[in-house]
Amino acid sequence: MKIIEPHIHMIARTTQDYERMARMHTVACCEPAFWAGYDRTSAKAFHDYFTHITEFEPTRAAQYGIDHYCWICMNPKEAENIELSREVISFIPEFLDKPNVLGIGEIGLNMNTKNEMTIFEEQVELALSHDQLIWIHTPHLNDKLKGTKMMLDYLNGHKGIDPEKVTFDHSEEHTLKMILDSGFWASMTIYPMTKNSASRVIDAVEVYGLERLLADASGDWGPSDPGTLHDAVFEMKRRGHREKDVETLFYNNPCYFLGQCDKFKPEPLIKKQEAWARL
Amino acid sequence: MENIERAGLTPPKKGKEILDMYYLEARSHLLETAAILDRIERCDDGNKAVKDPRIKKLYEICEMLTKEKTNRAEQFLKMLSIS
Repeated sequence: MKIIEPHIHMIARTTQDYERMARMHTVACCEPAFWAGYDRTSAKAFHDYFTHITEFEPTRAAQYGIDHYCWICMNPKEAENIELSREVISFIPEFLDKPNVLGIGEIGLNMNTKNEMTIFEEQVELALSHDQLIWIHTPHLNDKLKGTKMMLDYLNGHKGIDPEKVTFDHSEEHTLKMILDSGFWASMTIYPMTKNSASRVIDAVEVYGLERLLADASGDWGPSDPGTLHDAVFEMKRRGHREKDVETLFYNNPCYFLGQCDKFKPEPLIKKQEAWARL
Repeated sequence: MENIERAGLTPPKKGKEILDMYYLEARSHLLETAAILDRIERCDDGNKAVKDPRIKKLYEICEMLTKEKTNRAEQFLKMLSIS
């Protein structure tokens, strides 16, 4: 069975992780632009970072037969600095035509501040003006519910938004329904303590079905592991779900969403209507 | 803590530091338990399954956690032990 990792920060991972992912049948991975664990000191540092994830990472991944894709943006945490954010946003368009760039992301909120919201809105406009997919970061822990509602309210009121082209990531039980009800895609991140467990991701599929759901390990420089995505594959199989459904969550669904960008190469194994049909 | 008869090592850290270290772990374990109860209940025979005496015992343990001030882990295991 082939696996697609829709969200992972390979810049923070070792080459050994590419090897592990390849051994676990990962054929493609996607790297949203994010906070480095420290605030960057200038816009030039972001330019270097975008160059790294559009040029170096695809080469490193290719050694293990993995297609590497990425998303470009000003991340929610550093978006608090409006002046720096606008400087970064000014050169994002030069990266959007790179062969592995899928869209604008992971934009969103961190502490739900006014500045973060301003930069979120400006990057939504940037995505729309360049016909790009959008990958959204929802805040951590206690800030998640409010931040998700803030972004949903904005996007639901925006006439230019096609919800099919937007994924809200790091969704959990208290935010999934509102995201799906609005027609957006929802991804669930498997983190040991602070987000979802593999079991709770499969719970969500049992509650909501397979339509517009994704799962990711979101591996980065913190406590995280690309292998947790494969723990969820095992959990879904262990509960007795059909191979076809497992394949849809971990391979077909990423193809359906990411394949809306012509640059994404993997093809789904079956049509969406068949994959999402309820028994 | 003055009621605990202490024979072991004195914890080097303050309570607040331990809380900061372990809060997310406690939150995560409790959340997983909530999700497991939902998981059982979602099944065809879920309503019956959640009335299992083992689940009832877990609820009793939850109550104990809000009342007992010391030795919660010991009480937890004693409540599950065959007498």
